[in-house]
Amino acid sequence: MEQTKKGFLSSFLDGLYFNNPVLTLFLGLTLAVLATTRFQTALMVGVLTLVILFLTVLIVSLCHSFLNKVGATILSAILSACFATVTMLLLVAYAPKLIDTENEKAIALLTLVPFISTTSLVLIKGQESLEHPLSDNLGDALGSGIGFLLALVLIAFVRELLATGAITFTAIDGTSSTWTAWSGWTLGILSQPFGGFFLVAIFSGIHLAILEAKKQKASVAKEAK
Amino acid sequence: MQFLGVLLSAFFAHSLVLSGYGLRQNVALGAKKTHYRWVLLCLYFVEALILGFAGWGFRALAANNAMWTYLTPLFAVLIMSICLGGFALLTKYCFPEAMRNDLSDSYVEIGLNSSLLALVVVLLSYEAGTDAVMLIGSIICLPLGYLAASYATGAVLDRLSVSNTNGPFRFATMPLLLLSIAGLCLGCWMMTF
Repeated sequence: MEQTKKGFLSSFLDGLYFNNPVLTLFLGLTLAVLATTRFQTALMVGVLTLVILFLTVLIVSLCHSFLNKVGATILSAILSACFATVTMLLLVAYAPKLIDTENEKAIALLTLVPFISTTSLVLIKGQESLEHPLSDNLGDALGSGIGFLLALVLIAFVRELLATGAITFTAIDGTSSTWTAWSGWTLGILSQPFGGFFLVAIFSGIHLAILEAKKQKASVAKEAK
Repeated sequence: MQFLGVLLSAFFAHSLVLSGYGLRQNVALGAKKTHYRWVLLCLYFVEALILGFAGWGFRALAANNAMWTYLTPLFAVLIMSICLGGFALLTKYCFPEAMRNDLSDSYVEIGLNSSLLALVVVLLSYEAGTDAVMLIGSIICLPLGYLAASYATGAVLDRLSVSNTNGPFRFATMPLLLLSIAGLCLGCWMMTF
C-alpha cells in the first residue's frame, strides 16, 4: 500500500486537536459514554487506551509490509484484546481492592477494560497505520490517545460534578476520599447513559464550532490578502 | 411470556444503542449509503449469535476456573476474527463484484465490532442465577434490539445529513444524532419508573 508522509508533529497535533477522536471523529463513543460517569474511571480508562493504542499501532506499523486492510484490522483487534487481558490480570493481581465489585466506591474497570479491545479508535487507527510511515503513525497514536484522554477527563469532570456535586477518588487499598464542590442541588440523571450522550454532543458541538470559526477566519484572511 | 419480556426490554429499555454500546458501528449499519446493508445486518446477527453462545460456554468454564472470566474477551475477539476471515473469503469467492466493492468499506469494522456486542451480551446477561430462558432470550434479542435501534438512528442520521446546511451552527449530523439518542434514552429511562 502506498504511504503518505505528514510529519510527526503535524500528525500529533492532528490527532490531539484538529481530528480529536471523540469530539471530531466520534471514535470510541462507547467508552466516552460508559467511562465518564466518574472522573477517576475516565482518567484510568483514558490512560489504558493511550498505552494500548500506542503499542497496537507500533506493532501494526512494523508489520505493515505483510498486511492488507483486513489483516491490519484483525491484528489490531487481537493485539488490543491481548493487552486488555494482560491489563485485567495485572489489575486483579496488584489492585484488587480498587476494582472490587462489592465496594461501592471502587472503579468498574473489569467491565470497561474489555471494551478497549473493541473500541473503534484502536481498530481504525490500526487500519490507518498502513497508509503512513512509522513516525507519523506514532505521532498520530500519541496525539489521538492524549486527545481521547483529555476529552474523556473533561466530560467526566463536568458529568460527575453536576451529577453528584463532588469528585470521588479511590486509592489502591480501596479507601476513598471525596472533594465536595457543593451540596444541595444535583442533576443525578446525568449519571445515566442520557448524560453521556448529552455531554458528548454538547462538547463535540462546541469543539466543531471552534474549528469551523477558525477555518472561516483563515479563509477570510486569505481572501483579504 | 418471559421471552417476550426480554425481547421488549432489548428493543427499548436495554437497547444497546440507547445504553451507549456500539455507537460508531451503528452509523455504518444504519446509514443508507450501503446498498447491501442487509448483508451486514445478517453478518452482525450471525456473529452475535455465535459469540453469544460461545460466551455462554466461557461463563460455564469460568464457574470452575476464574481465569476464564478474564480470558473471555480475548477468545471472543479470536472467534470473531475467524468469523470475519470466513466472511472475507465468502465475499471474495461467492459474492458479485458490485456487492464486494460496496461492502468493502464497512464490513471489516462491523465484523470486528460484533465482538463488542458479544462482550456486552456476556458481561450484562450472565449474572448469577440467570436461567436458561433469559440467557437464550438475551443472546437472540439483544442483537435484534440493537439492529432495530441502529435502523432508527440511521434514518435520523440520514435525515440530518440531508438537511446539514439547515442545522444549528455546527451541531448538525453527529452531535444532533447524539442529542436525539439522549432524548430517546431519557424517554426509555422514564418508562422504567
